[in-house]
Amino acid sequence: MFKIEDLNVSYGEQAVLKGLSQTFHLGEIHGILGMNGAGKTTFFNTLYQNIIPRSGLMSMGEKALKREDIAFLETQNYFYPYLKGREYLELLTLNKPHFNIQEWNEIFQLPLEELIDNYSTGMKKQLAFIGMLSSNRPIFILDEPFNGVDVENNEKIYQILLRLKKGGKIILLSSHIISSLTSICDKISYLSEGKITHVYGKESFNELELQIKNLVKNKIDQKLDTLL
Amino acid sequence: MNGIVTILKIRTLQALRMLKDVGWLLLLLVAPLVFVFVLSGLETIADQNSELPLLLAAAVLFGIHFKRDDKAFLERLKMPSIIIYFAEYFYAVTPFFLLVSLATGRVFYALCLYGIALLVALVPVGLIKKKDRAGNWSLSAIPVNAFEWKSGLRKHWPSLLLMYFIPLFLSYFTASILVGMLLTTVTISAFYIEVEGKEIFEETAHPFLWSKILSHSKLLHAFFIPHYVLFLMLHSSYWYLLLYMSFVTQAILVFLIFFKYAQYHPRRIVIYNQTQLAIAAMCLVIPILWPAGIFFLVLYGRRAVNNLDQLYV
Repeated sequence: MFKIEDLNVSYGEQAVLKGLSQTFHLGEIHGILGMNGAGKTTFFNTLYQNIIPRSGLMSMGEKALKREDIAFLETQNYFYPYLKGREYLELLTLNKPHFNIQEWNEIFQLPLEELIDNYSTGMKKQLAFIGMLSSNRPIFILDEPFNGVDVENNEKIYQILLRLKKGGKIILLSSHIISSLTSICDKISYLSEGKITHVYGKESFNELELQIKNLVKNKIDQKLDTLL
Repeated sequence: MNGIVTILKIRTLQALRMLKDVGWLLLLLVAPLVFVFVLSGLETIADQNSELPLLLAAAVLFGIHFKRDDKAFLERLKMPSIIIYFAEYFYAVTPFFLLVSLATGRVFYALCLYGIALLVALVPVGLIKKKDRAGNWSLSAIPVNAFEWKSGLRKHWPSLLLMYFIPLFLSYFTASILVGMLLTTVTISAFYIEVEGKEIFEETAHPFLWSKILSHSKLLHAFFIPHYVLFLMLHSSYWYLLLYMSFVTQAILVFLIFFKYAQYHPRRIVIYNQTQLAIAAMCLVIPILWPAGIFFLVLYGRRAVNNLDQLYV
């Protein structure tokens, strides 16, 4: 079990996460949903300890959460220039002889002998995803893993995440597309103004979709009436 | 005609901005070395019937021509691209034309530069595909964790090619190989400007400073084997100068690694502070400034160790 309690993060005077608390269970896929600027990426970066929180506790079982507990796939993956896909993966698996690059790539069929600079956005995402898998840590955090990835490869990512879940991993993922979360997550937390305002179980995903639709509709309906 | 003048004005401004980006201090450091090169070149032209400087000029211009990625933009201008290319190259070789004509009196020889400019301008830009130019080589002899070298060689191969081979061609002159080693190391410094992502860093970085210095030093000196061999064959009485330059390049390499990891942060993409780098390099090159150079090495070495320790709490 991985737990966060009363997490507070600020950028200068601006509070981004405000007393955020949540528990994540082993073998669970947990979606984090929120509008742009709600604090999703800050939340993930804080868990990964890229950002130091002002206050709060983060624990994994009985121990404090460590960076080494987490495999993190960021929204924007930065690749060292002029490296080939294979070289990137070889670097990530230097100390992991169990990880077979060739076999994993049979799933995604990436041109590993090509320079990464020539990859499409989706291919880069898949490459970073394979790299993340190599770390085999108890918690997987995926920030917008489906961005730019085509339908077939999205499905491959789904299937792999389901296998990881079966293996007892904790998976946190965010997406701007609500359907990509509802189709795979066990729970979805709605993050708004730095707090998790509601946690939806599978049975209430329809309610969540409807709520978001109505929220957006109410926001823009009046304006659209005057424009269109 | 107005269009051409506008383009040449823009090119001049671009060149000045590039020089500004390089940094005046580094330029000051490199200027005497370039001066030595130019003098050697002029001496070659004046004394011998060598076509080597012309070949060099052609190689440089072809290199620039094939690297152009403004083809689509130029095609939108109401002027044939070839005229623009020729005007630009004509403009670029004119200082050399004047230099060669005035310094050596060989006007016809200098005029050949314009001939080369015309020839290069006539070659279609798209003749070599961009992908091929990117240097998609295997470089399997370089260990996977020396990724800076794999990336750097692919990215900077045109400038490295010049810095590497010209001194070897001019190895008859004692200073040539020594200056070439220094200029090559300055070019190699660009390998250490980009910062690896946290995922690569975590896998390759710990415990790593010393092993990295060792493996990169092996690469650097292996890279200079032809320089060492040629220098010892042609100028063996000056072996101590070669030893000095070997130490200098080694010290610069160590400083580059320290400098990078003193400032490393997983969320930073590029480390670039030409001024500090140039000052430290200068201190390592000039013997009288060695105490300062050693101070910089120790200072940044400690900073690198502390920074890595903090990242691995």
